[in-house]
Amino acid sequence: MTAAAIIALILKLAPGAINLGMALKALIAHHNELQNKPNRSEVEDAELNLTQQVIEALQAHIDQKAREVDAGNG
Amino acid sequence: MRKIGLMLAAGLVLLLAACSGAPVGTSGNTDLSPREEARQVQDTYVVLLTAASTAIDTNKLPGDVVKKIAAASHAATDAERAYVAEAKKCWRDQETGVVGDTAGLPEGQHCTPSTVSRLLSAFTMQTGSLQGTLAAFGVNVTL
Repeated sequence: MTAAAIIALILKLAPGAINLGMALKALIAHHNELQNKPNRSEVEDAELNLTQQVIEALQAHIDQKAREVDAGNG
Repeated sequence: MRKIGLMLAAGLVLLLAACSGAPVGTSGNTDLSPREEARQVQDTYVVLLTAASTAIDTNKLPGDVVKKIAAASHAATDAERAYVAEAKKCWRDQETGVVGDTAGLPEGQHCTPSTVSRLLSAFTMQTGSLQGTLAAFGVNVTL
């Protein structure tokens, strides 16, 4: 299964997870970039940054759920 | 369904990290530079945050419980950001093994291992708090 197919599947399973989908697209792009990085520190930075994007997407999802509780939809 | 999506996302991140040549070892391995260790800490935190997110999505938790989990995760993520930002300043020379400043740091910024260590401790405390919050509502996460 290709990366694009995995993203499509995730978005189909979780249609509300727009931030997650965007993070995953960025993640794939970063991963592809890694293949062309000659400098180890650049590779490490890219790895740290892409994982941080996934953390931010998960946190945003949790925050959204808390806001829905505040709005009475929880 | 969303649970499956989030678990797939976490799995994908771990898979890509493995494929991109991330250092192999466990957190706390002294052979790792601070930034290498931070990468492993991040992966572990993705698993914990995925568990928190999944618990909220699937367990029909009361609103006040959701807000407690969100608050605990927010504090942990804040601590994670601070720790990773500091760890990124520390670069290990592959040949000599010496840890020093990452190239290109803004003027006045330096690698300070003691600060990295302090922020890692603070982050560990926050993740423990998040784990405790989850456990209090029946979601046990062992990392």
